[in-house]
Amino acid sequence: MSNHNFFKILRTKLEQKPKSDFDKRFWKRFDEEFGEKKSLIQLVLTPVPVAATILIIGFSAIWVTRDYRGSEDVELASALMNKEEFLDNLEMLRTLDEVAVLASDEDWQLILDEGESPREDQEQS
Amino acid sequence: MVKSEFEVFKKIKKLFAPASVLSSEEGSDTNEALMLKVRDGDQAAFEKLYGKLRKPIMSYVYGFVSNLSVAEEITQEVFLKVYRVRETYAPTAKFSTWLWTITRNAVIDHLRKKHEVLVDDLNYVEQQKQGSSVEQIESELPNSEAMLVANTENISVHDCLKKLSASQRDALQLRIFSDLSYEEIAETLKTTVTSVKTLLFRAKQGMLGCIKKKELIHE
Repeated sequence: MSNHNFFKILRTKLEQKPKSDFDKRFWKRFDEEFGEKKSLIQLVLTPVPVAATILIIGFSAIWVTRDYRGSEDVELASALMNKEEFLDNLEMLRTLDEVAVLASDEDWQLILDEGESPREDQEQS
Repeated sequence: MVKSEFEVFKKIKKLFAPASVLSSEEGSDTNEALMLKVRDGDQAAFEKLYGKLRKPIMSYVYGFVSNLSVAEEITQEVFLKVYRVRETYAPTAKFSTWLWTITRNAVIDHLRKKHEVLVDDLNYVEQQKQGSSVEQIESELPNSEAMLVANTENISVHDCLKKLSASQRDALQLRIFSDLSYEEIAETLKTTVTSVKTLLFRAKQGMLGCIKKKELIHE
């Protein structure tokens, strides 16, 4: 009697069979999409080499940058050293600074007195 | 909650069904059980589901696109999507309803891109027709009509299918290729059970009328 069921008969008439390579193509697509995930997971599961690589790259970057900045400073200093006037001023400033640091008020007074005395002596004579 | 007449039909059918059919339907390998395994990453369970359902899914899709290569492409995309969104599957939802909704959406997306049919055509709700009951829809065909349909060429039956409205075709194909109940078909089509009955009744009448006409011309 089930042979007289309209929907069952219709199913046999309308059912489609996929081509012979259908499954092969599907599993290829499946592997392409979900197979890659596995290799990503594998990468995540082995963090030591990844962390080591990141650390090496990081330190290398810092080292290279530091060398570059150092060489820049050397070049600047070299350019300044070539300026004679600059060096003279630098020497003068350094000398003044030393005097200022080392001389007390009494010392200054003594220096000034000593400086003035011969001139007074010359005027008096 | 009142059980539908179709559910009663299904229960009667089960009483007379062979043991092999029952074991596959009610054993541990139900579609829901398999999908729960797939959700937990069981690829072998996915292979089983794919093996069981790829043919009905492709047949349904073919009914709308009438091109084997396109039907295959959409079918493959449906199964890839099932695996892609496997973690969103909730055990409260019947797997078949979930799968057929994904399939139907894939067909609608394809048709929308091709501008072949308006999506609204598939959401069309037919007026209730008085007297269309499950008994009428599911009743056995008289011997002459059954022989007529069985002997009609597949291509002619497919031509008749294409002459139905999109919503009639949709309901008819879900009834033929899925194991959904009338309530589940209504849920998938986002309409009422009454509308599903009307759609199926009209689809059946339309198909029989078309096949008879074709056979008359053939003679």
